[in-house]
Amino acid sequence: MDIRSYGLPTLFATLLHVVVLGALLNHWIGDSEPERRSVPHIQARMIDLEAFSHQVAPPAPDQQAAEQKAAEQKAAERKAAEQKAAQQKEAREKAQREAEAKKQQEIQKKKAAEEAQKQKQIAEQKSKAEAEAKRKQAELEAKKKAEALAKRKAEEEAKRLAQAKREAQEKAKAQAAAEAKARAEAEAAAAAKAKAEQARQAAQQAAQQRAESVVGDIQGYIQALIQRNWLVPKTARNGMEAVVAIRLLGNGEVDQASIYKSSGDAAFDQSALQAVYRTERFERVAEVDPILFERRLRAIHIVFRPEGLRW
Amino acid sequence: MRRLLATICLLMMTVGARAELVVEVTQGVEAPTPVAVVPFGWSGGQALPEDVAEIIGQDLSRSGFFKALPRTSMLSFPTRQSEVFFRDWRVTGADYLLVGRMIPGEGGRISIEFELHNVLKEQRVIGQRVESDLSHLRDAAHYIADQVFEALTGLKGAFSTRIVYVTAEQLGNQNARYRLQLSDWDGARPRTILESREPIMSPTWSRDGRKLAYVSFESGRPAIYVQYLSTGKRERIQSFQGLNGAPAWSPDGNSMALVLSKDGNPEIYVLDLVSRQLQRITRHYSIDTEPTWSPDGKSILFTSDRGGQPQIYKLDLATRNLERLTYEGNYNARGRLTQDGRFLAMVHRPQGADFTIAVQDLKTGRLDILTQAGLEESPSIAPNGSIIIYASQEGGHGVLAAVSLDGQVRFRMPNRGGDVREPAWSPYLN
Repeated sequence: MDIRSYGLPTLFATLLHVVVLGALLNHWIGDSEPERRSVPHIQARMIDLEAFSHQVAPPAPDQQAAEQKAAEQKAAERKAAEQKAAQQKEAREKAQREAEAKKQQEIQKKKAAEEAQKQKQIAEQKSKAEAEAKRKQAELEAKKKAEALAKRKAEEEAKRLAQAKREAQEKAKAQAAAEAKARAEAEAAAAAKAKAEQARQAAQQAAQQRAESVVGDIQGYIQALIQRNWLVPKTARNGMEAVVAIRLLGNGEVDQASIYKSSGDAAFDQSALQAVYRTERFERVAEVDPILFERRLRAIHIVFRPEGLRW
Repeated sequence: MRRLLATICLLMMTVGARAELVVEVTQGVEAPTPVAVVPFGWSGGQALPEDVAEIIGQDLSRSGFFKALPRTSMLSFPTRQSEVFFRDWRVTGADYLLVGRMIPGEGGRISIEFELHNVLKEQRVIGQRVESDLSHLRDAAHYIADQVFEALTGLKGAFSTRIVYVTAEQLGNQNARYRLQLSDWDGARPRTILESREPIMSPTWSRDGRKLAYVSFESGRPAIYVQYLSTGKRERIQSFQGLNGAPAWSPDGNSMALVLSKDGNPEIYVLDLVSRQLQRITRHYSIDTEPTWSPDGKSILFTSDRGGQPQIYKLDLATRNLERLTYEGNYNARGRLTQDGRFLAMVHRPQGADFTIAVQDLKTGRLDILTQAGLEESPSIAPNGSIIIYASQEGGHGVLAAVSLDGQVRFRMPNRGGDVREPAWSPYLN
């Protein structure tokens, strides 16, 4: 396991911690003020919202005006004073109303402001909550993400491991299979080879036997020729031995002859060489299969070892 | 495929090289090697006194090692290599061919150039130029024969050696001529080196070939003399009462074995030629005679009838150990050893037969009779051991004859009258 493989996770973890810490810090710092603002919030609740809602009903004056107009026409005069009073009253009322309205408006305004404030607060709260939630969510998500990442990573790792394992297994399997195959093939080949070898050996043996027979024949033939052509020198003694190495050409001609092992007697050695030179050519060697000739008859040793001499 | 074939071939060759076919040859033709000695060319005007090629051919033939091809079988008479057609000579059956030419020089000088060829191998063996003159052509011929012999056998030729022998001529009643003669090994060119009215016996050579020792009765009784061949100077070295005989020079030339009967019956003595000290080495009531040295000078072989009949014994001079060497037949005498010490030539009489020359292989004990039964005597061996010369009888006269060590070649030397006896072969003279 490489130590570097921890690098990225460690970085992530650190980052995550920093993010979480940062979020928490914000939360902690941001919490103290909204708590203090919660005092006007309690005040706002004391205002009657219904009153506000009556005040704002708009169509009623319009309808009243039309009816009033008709009534006024009928009792214009009678009502002139009243009207005037009414106007005055109305003016007062109006003023009152206006004041009321204004008050109302102000209240409303205040209410609106409060509402706005509340709304704002709510919004703030909401946003805060949202932020919190978001943060939490983010945190969660981050966590989740981290977890997921870790999980994924773990999964990936596991997967990778599994994959590696599988691959290794597959590889091993493949290898085993290949080996088995190779072994089988080798065995088959060996068997075939053995069989071929056996056949070859049998053939070779047969050929060998044939070759031996041919070589034996040639051996006898060469011996006979050389014995006929060897003039045993006067210096020859029983027990003397000279070996002449000869090389033949394919047509049986003597290509080279040399003393391979001296008898110690110059005349004896020379006579052995002369026997070969006199023979000059072993005609029957030419009839021998060239490969056999190459193998067995090209180079020959002739041992001159006289027997039955006087001395 | 070709590589495979090549490999197989190579393999076979190596196998072949290891297991060579061996052919054993245990029998052959026991015949001399045929040599063609072509008449030498002569660019001089007058006829030559000697036929050099003829002498060479005869020398080689008489050795028993070779057989000279008769001239009638020759298809041509080349005198130099360029004129030689080996195939022709192969057809005639010659293994070797000797050609030569003689070129006249000033004052009767003659240069002889010869070449020896191996007919079967078609190769020159030796070639030489020999300076001679009209009166020494025979020497030149023997010399060339020696060169050929040595080239082909590895043994030094003995054709330039000499022999001495004694002739006896009855000129009338109580009138005889005894001569000590010296000749070529083949009996040619004899010359008398001592003539006497009294018997001459047992000539023998010093090892350096410069002196002869012999027994002469010229003083009325046997005495041993030494004669220098170059000057003819003589010296009487021993003359005791009774028998003084059978001198034999030791290999180092400092001593001489001889037979003296001064102490009663014939015994073997060794005379120190420097101090003149005499040492008796046999002590037996029977006859001990005919001493000869072993080539190493460490023992003396002699004939003794101490066993009831003459047989050859060997006495070791240092240990005084005596060993009887011959058992076959009822008479074995006058032993002579080859230079390698292996073969003992002797006069041998088989049961119920006459005297022959026989040779015994001291290594195996095998005895071979080399000559027909007669009155053969006094074998003497050529220094190279190839030929034994001996005295024989022909028409009531003593003649010289020779036989090759294997008994295959026998020939008689020319007889110029009188009885010829006791030949002695010289050592190498050059």
